[in-house]
Amino acid sequence: MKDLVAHMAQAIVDYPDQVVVTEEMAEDHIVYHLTVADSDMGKVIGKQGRIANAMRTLLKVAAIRKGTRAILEIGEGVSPRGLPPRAPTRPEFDAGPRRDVEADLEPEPEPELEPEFDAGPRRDVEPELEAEPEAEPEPDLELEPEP
Amino acid sequence: MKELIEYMARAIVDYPDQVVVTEEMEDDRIVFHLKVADSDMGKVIGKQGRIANAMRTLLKVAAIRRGSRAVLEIG
Repeated sequence: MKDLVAHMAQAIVDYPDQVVVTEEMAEDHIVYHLTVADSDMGKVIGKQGRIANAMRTLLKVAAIRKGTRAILEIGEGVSPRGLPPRAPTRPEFDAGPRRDVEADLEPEPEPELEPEFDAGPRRDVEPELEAEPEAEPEPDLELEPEP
Repeated sequence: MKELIEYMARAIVDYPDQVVVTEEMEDDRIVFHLKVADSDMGKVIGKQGRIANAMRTLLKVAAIRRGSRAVLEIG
């Protein structure tokens, strides 16, 4: 999972060489500290923490798959919001094998998707969801003229 | 970027061997197709597409860093 964090961070920073990930075992979870070049801090956090949260989402799933829990901290051991390290949020978690990974994620509301970058015209993100064409009304309603 | 998607997907599926990513140039953007085992589809999409969107977010940033644009399709 350390590699996963490093891979994700290295893909998005300007100075991949300066990406450092350390891991630390806490009682029932692993804390990953991600440090990057100062100028890259904004990139790994993102507007309103969007990038950081995307990395946390994936890390969380990877951790659950391995039957553990993981927390990602960015910077010098302090979360980007300036809050103390997050306490475990699910003390009732049973680390046994779970199949419904996505059901384990807290239903946090999805943040509004603002155009964070000048991403140009909106793309169809999921064109695999092909909408069924609207059923055309049958044009057989033409009435025969009465004889 | 292909490696990034493969890495992210392999970290969260039950069958990492069945993760296949193909890329395809389309006009000014790269379309990545991610295929996983049928039983892993739910994992890479996630509830309400949360996992898929997390991967897309990171892919988008990685693409922008390279002066490109990328789309991730799953399935």
